[in-house]
Amino acid sequence: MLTGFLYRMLLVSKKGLSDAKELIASYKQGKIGQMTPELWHAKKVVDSTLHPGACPIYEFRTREWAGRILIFYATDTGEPVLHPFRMSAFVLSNLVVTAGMLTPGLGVRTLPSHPSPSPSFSVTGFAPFPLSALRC
Amino acid sequence: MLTIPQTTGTLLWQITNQSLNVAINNANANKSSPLSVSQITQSYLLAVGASCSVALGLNALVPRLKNVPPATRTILGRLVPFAAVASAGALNVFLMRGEEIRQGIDVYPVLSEKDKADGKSEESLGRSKKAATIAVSETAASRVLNSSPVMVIPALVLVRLQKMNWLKNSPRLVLPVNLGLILTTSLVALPFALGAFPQREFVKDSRLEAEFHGRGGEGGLVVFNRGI
Repeated sequence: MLTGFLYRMLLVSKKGLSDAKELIASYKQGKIGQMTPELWHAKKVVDSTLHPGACPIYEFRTREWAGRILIFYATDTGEPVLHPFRMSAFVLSNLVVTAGMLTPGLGVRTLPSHPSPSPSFSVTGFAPFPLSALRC
Repeated sequence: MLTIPQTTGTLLWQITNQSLNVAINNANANKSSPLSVSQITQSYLLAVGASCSVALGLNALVPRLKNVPPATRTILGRLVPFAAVASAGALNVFLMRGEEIRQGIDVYPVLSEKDKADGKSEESLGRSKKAATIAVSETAASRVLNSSPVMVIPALVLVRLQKMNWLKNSPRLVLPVNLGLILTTSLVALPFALGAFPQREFVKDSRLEAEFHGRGGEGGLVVFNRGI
């Protein structure tokens, strides 16, 4: 469920983001009196897309996974985070690197070899003496 | 046929992983107490150094284990990336947060509902080195435990699958199959991993230095920020 919503957040458009910011702003100004599903969705969009930034009680809201710090709920500085580093992209960015580390032989690239040696370039050419000499 | 040695791939992916690590951490870091550039660089270089040396060291060591059956060696070989990532993460915590263990961290009494209703606020009882040791160790443990599902399960399942004929006959499928395994494990394990390690640590005051004994709040508990 969590990651499902993260993917949806990754695909949020610029318009969706600005709509969400507006909705949150009007809630903060008291224009919307109660929590609605639209407002909750807007909060998720803002939380997973914008820079979390300074938040006095950040310690209540951060979690860590695979050595990475995940910050889900914190007040934002308003700047969108670069796509691959957003928390909504976390599983996808991580997937690429983990697959790189875990797929055996991924670093081994087979390059095309030289054209195969022609028949005239046979083992006889390297013999220290003519092979015909062995016949007798 | 020319081949680039496996070493290059190992190094490249370990460096990429640590770079993504530092990029995500930095892009989402709390900017109210920012890390300096030199701290970030130091942490990054330590992590890269640790993960690359563990990965290369174990890659060289595993094939030399003569007493171990080949099947076990294969499995051990596949777990090398996990060992590298986990040890780099844990080592990094101790190296970067060693100062906390020397100086101690602030601990607070746990407030009861009544205290909260009275408007009491959490006031530091002082700095505890034992609490700092608990905080840093738990963080290191959480890094190892959190990275294990996604680095261990797909690796082991892939070893099994690669013994099956359909995958043997079409080696091109190994990468997509592995991607699927990692994605599935991430989706299942991520929510659990996130829930398993709360940021605030509650301990009995008797586990800390003598000066804190009997000074805990509700239930004799004190609380501190475990950190990340």
